[in-house]
Amino acid sequence: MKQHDETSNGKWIERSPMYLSFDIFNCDYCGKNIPRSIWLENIENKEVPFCSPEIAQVYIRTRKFPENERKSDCEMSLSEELRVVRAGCAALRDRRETSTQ
Amino acid sequence: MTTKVSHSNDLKVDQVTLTVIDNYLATTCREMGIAMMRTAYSPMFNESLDFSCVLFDKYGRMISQAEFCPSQIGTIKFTVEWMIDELGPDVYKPGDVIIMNDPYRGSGHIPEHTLLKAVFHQGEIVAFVANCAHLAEPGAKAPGGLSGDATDIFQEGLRLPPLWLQREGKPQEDIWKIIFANHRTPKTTYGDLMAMVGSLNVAERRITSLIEKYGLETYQNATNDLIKIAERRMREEIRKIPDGEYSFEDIIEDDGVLNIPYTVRCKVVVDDDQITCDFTGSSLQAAGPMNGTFAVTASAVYNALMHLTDPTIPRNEGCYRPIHTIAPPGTIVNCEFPAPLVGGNTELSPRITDIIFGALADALPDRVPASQGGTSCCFLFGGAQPDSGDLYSHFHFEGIGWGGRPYRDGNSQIIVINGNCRNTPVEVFETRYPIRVESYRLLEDSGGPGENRGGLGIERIMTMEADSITVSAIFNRMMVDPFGIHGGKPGKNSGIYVRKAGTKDWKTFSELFGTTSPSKFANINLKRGDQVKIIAPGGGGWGDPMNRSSERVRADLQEGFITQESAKNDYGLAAQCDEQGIWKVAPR
Repeated sequence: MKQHDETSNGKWIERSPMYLSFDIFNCDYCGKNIPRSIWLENIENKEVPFCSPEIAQVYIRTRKFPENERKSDCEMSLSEELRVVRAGCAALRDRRETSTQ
Repeated sequence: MTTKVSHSNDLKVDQVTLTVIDNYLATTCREMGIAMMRTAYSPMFNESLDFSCVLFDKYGRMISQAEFCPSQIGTIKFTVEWMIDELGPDVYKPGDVIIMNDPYRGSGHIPEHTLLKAVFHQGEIVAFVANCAHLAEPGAKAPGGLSGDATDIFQEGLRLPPLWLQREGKPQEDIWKIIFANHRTPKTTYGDLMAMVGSLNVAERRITSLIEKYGLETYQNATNDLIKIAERRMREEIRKIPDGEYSFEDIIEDDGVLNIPYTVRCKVVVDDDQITCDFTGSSLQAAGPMNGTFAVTASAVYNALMHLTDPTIPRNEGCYRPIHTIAPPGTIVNCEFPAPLVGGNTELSPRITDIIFGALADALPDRVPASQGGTSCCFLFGGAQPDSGDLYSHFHFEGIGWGGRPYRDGNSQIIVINGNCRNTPVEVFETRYPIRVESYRLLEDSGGPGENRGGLGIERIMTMEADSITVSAIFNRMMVDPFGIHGGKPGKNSGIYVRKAGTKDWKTFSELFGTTSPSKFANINLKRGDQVKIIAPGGGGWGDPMNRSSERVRADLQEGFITQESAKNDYGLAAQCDEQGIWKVAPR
């Protein structure tokens, strides 16, 4: 069913559909969730996975993957931010338990 | 808006036929919507019009849409693509209807359910027809589904992967039973889902008639041509924007779980005939439900760029092709399973649209407006009807002020830019639910001052008329102003306040009930006589307010849109009201 321009330098491949586990596969370039069909673009004799031939072309145009800095505005490290999130959730639970007593 | 079809030599169908077919398809989408509006049970459908109807070709490429909810139109592109790709190509039979609402498979958020049906001609699939609608009750921990303090997706409702709701025209009772068992208002869900099924049947009949009239080959050539035209015209539009990199950022002020701000950053790269919106550098995904999925973010990008480009371009797959979104997984603009996200579609989506506007403000000075109020002001409530004991559940949203524009003031009290919906009229609201609306008015001085003023927000006060009503909310812009541009000032903030029966003072829900956020919370129990006040924000102003003519300032005073203080402080004009109530303004 998946269509692509015949001049594209690549092919569609399929991953197994999920059933018991819900594994989400993101496009390495744009981050889009990919259900089943992955576009493999041949770039300099390497097969690079993308969500679509169009996004592969955007990459080829820029030749640069985005720098996924994962930087929060609070300037916290990933682990520190997760610690705060967990602490916040625990505080919320405590407050609810207190308020229902 | 009527679209226009421009011809070229590479097209297979003549311009007149293309125009007729393009309008026929858009009208079919509108007719699908009317069928849903007239046959659904809940005010979410027949008053708020929180739904969208879209047509796809056999490959899952969008071929037409109409003036529905922009966030749904953008996400349904991904939803339908996912449904077709996950299920595979050869599983559909005539009369099958497939349902899905999983945000991690492309839906905007759990309340929005997408129904899909394949249309057959002589045994072959020739189209897919789909609609997406916001069910007022998705079986979440909070009535209405928008749990403002959810910490994972499982608290946001019953998550449905692609499932057969109907096989060869027959309801799949097992699936219906699961849905009914998990929704607080199963009868309403039944009526609304059946309205959606009916809407698909309308579209199926219309597509079949079209093919019978023009033949399959002409129909398929026409849809291919329309996609080509839309792509070509959108690329022409993008070429008019100066090449370059444009950046902007704004804040999601908190998430209902943690009181920390989240930054949304976007770099808009205009490269000849295509645009890439790169959100790299945005904050990590939120602990609470303010996250967006890739589909929500891409949909908001489309929404912004559709507002800034020629509205007569046929709205189909082609107009999206030159627009690209980069949203790193694990960030607030592309959260990872199982993060909560129900507020992303209502709050993050308009923020992203405004960020694109902010980024392109200098590149397109004659088109870009200031920030709109930028929140859906989601107020959810539910309980048992005092007379019958029947459970009810409702999602109320409020109109806001839109940003001042280069050529005109912003509109007042219009549903947020990702919605294009209506709020529930007071009469319907009071008839269906045990809440009385005490007052509902435009809020003076809420529009950001500017040469072109931001639109006004509103104030609504409601009284609870049942012994127990459970309320939830997801608002934003309560602390961070809707921004003005080109010297315009910000609009006024949103707010949601509560006053217990027998007391005088309005308090935030944090002050009275200890919620982490004053604007995002879930399952607060209010009693008879308690009151809620909603403040919807105004839009930002466009241009220096000192450039606004004294006559326009006087007219605003006369209408009650601004006060004497604002005329003096914001516009530098002394004003007096005479005994007949006529305002006069002294020259600057």
